[in-house]
Amino acid sequence: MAGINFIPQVSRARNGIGAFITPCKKITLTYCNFGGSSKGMREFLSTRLKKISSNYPSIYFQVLLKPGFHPVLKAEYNNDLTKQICVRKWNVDVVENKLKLLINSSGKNLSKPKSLVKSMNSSVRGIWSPFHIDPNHRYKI
Amino acid sequence: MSSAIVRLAGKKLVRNSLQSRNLIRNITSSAVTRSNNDSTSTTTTQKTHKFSYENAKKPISSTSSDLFTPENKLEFGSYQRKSTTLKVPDSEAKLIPSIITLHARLNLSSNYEHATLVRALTCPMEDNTYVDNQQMSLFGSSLLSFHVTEYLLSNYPRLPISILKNATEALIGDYSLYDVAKNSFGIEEDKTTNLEKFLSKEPRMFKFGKLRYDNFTNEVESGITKYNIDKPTSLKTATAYANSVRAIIAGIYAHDGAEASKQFIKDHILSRKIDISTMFQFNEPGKLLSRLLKTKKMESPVIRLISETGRNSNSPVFIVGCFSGDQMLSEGQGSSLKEARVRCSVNALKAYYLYSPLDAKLPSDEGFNGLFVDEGESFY
Repeated sequence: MAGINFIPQVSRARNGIGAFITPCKKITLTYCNFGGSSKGMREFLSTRLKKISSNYPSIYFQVLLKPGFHPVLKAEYNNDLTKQICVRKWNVDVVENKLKLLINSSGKNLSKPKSLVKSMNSSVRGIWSPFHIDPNHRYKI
Repeated sequence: MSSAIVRLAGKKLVRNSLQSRNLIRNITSSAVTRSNNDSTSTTTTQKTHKFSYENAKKPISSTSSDLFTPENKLEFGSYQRKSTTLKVPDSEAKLIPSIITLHARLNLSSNYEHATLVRALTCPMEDNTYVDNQQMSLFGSSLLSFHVTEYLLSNYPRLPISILKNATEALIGDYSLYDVAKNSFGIEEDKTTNLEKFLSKEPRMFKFGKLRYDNFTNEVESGITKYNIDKPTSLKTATAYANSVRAIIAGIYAHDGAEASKQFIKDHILSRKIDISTMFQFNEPGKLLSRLLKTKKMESPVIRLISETGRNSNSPVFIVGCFSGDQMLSEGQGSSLKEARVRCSVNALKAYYLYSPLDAKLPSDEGFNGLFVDEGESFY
């Protein structure tokens, strides 16, 4: 019978069109109270973390004491992936930069893009067709 | 004049659909009386396929003995369920990190109480005495289907009803809202047991910051016999996540009003990508097209060959056009004449059904001045 059936579909997110939600949702900062490798991290926690965390209210910052371990920044993202950076022996500025790198990351694994433009939308211009030009101007074999 | 009539008709249509929805709800909740006079109710009860966004049509599970009915039955705010007595106070909800971050992530206003978010993340569960999101998600789903249907109807006024419903499902169905909740809002579900919570010294309140529901188990591990695992409150994972989004939107309506909830739906739901043109699946598109043209009082379609190459080779290309009188409706290409003809008819049908006006105004917008909605497939 003639009729119209439907093919089910699920909508896809376009973060930033309409609303933008930071993909990073939680950052765990671990440090050791004694170890020398945590020196920069300790300074960061005592002097800069408060200001940064108040700038990003949508991210849950958790500070954990892990005696005997190197300091680690661990970020959790909306897509269930995590990224970790070990900041042993780094000074306070590097720790801050690494934290900002994690905050601004989309959470996706790094990969080499295969094309310059990646889009969900089909081309606005369409595809050139050899059949739609005047037959007199067509290329003749 | 004509636009005024259409506007009236449109309003009537909306009111009718609301009435029918109420009717449906009454029918499903009582599940005994079925009015034979009303044609809308009988047709909807006969229908077998239901989309997941049609949440309001589901029967309300709580029994009537559970419901506290106020003396004046018109006081809708005073209805309460007796089993849910405890409420997480706002002051305590503000101490839960995942609730605070969710509040900030969704850019909710200061009117929006953190306790409402806690409630939105609590699905009805067995032995749960805290207030849950059952009624909120029902209201949120009605709100969502109203705004999304309104958007689709005014932007694609000629869509067939099956495609319109499927597009609505694609935007606000369970799987779509599951993606919104999990991968955009970053809502997590509470998977840890009480023992694990105790051992990790997690504060008692922190579990309220996660989505809690009775998981609907389809499969059990090998060697284990399935014995009465599913409870009446059990939900599938996608439904539970989707209900939390619906409840959050209902909360915006409650705290900030209709305009804020509309904006939220526009920003978070309508901004998502769907491709309506790939939803169609035509059976016998040629017949459909000739019927459509007949109802539009146009000349019957004629397929004509426009261009071709390599007819006798193994990779020929044919370009055909579909004409109604002098007007070319569409064009199709294929490696056989039949394929090109079918594609051409499909393109003509899609060109008709996917018409979209520029700057379409929604009925809930200010300055809305009538809307031309197509009569639908009168030939069915």
